[in-house]
Amino acid sequence: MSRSLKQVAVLLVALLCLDPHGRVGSAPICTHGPSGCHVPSLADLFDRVIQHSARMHSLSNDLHSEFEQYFLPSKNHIGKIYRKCHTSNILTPNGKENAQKLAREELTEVILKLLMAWRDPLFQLHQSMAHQQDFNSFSSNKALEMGDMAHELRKGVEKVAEKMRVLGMLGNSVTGLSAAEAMLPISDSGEAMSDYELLYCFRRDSNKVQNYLKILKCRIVPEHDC
Amino acid sequence: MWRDAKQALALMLLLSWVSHSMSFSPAGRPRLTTCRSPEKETFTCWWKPGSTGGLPTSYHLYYRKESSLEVFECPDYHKAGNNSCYFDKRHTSIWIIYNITVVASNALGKAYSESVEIDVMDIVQPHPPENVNVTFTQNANSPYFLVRWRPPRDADTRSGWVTIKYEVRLKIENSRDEEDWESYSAGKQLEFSIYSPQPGANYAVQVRCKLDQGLWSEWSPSAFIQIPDNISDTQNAVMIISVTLTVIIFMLTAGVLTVKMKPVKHFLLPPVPEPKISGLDTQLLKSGKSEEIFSALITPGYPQIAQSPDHQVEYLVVYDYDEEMDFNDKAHLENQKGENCLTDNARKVSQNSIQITLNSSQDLNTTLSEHVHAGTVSNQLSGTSSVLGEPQQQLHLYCNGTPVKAQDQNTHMSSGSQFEQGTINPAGLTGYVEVDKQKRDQKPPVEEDYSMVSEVISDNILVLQDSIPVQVHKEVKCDKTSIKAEEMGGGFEPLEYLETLTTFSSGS
Repeated sequence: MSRSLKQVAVLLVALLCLDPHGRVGSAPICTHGPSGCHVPSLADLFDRVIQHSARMHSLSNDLHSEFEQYFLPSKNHIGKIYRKCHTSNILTPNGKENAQKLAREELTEVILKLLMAWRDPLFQLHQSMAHQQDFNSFSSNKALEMGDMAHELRKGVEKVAEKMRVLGMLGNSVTGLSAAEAMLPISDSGEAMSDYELLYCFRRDSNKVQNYLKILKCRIVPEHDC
Repeated sequence: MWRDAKQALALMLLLSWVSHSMSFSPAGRPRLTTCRSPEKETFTCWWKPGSTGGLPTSYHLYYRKESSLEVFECPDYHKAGNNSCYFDKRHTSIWIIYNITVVASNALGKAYSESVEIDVMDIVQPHPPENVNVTFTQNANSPYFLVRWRPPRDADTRSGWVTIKYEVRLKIENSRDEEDWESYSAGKQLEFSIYSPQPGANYAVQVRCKLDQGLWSEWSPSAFIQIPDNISDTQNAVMIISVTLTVIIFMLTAGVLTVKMKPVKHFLLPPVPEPKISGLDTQLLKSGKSEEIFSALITPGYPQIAQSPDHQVEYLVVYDYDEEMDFNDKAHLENQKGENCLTDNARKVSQNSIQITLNSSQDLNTTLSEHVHAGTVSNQLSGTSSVLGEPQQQLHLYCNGTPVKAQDQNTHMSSGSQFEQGTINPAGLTGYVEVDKQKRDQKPPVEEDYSMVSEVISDNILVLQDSIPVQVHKEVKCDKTSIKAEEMGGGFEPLEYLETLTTFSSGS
């Protein structure tokens, strides 16, 4: 009985959407009644995004230390990766002051560039980890999750940027996303980076993203937690 | 020329000897111990010097940044103390690998430490939280104490650069145990409430923090709080009332008891009838005069056991079939001339045995009546009381046929010691009756003198009449092998003894 009711409801909704008056635009389907949907504020969006980036960084931390523990036990601090990460070309602030000196738009752009640059390498990482027997399935699942998270985070930050633009906080100079898409994880010498190097670089970059987001948030919406 | 050469040689030897005795050497290798950043904006590295080699040594720290070959020297050697290098904000870059080396140099040489590579994001460890204080609040029904603190001085949360997470731990101050700390995660807040603390306890509270995914700081110094002892009013009242009631009841009971002591006592602890043997006075026993004892025992008209050897005393062998020892063994034992014949009969004797124990006041009535159906033979030689009433007993100690001095007997009897010490413990109903002293025949001798039997009380006991009136002698032979002789005090030879149990002719 309830099933048929649900089907009816879906049909009605569909009819509404196909209204010939041509209501265009994406409105959330709110079934909460007259109170309406809860539209997240910018602060809420920032919080979600920051939490997301924290989780992503902790995942990358875990994976990296696992890797170090099992595959490079002898190397403590010596012989640490000296190769450039493929994201080294992206100019990122190396400290708090530098980050604070950057304009909001630039900071947002840096974040988006970083996240974009990792889309393909993370996918490759997961692929290579899944194929190796050395990694257990647990680790390769983590790599997959990490890749998904980076993707989600990028979408989230884009939403935040959109909202800021709507609110007039951001100028229209946020561009250049397409240029970052072409980045490939190739080190200086032209070889593909190893898994360990990728993990190390991503750990560092996810930490950067987390820090930049927090700086951005406290600069834009400093109400709570700042 | 020779002289010059000699002088030069002597000088060289002298120098080398001097330097050798003073043992100067080039500087030893230093070692970088740790690098820490308290707020993710600056950092400090410390090193441990190697041997100085006896000469004044100087230390220098050099570093390189990731993928650059340029070498820099430490910007500040003094701010963080001895053997340290402080990198201020200008010189600190996060997310870059530093390659750091320390060089020790003295007049005789240099020594390079091992290079260390660090990334500042990995070495973040904040200072402990500050101004930790604790206050106790007596809330109506839920007392709690509140812990508050301030973030470490230099961590910058205002700009969102770092996020501080805190952890609180507390323990009761009495125990010195390190494991008694209870830890609670306090998240990002600056205060924490602990509910329902123990009244009267003294708590120590500490807080620590960490930045993002960095290392935990040291625990802050302890803050102490003493929880007062009082409890809430209603509980107080209840307790007071209950205590008062208890006291009243107690006093009433005490009053009742004192007033009605005897009846209550009789009600609760009915007195145990004590067996008495008329004629046996325990005081006399203590005094140790055997003659008096036995004279007390012997009442006029009471048949005496003649001691004259020509007067054949006929003994009936009485056996308790519960006994371990059987007839033959007994005979065997009897024939043996044992030295250590201590009575450890209690061990061998079954429960049914009659025991004359000096230190216990058994109710021999019960035991006896099972087998003897005798009169109230109460062998109570306890130190407390009870004169041995009728029937009287005559206790003879025999070992190897020779009568023992009564003196020994007395001492045994009056010793009040454990029966291991050779008190007169009848082994039980393992008395036996001998027909013939010489014969030592274990067979019931009654074929010859059966006419003298006046009464048969049980299978074991024949009551003889005539000149030897109702006497059932129970002779207890000690087990020859009883080793208890050693345990006993001295003067325990001879260890065989004879216990005579006289019964009323009238029976019980």
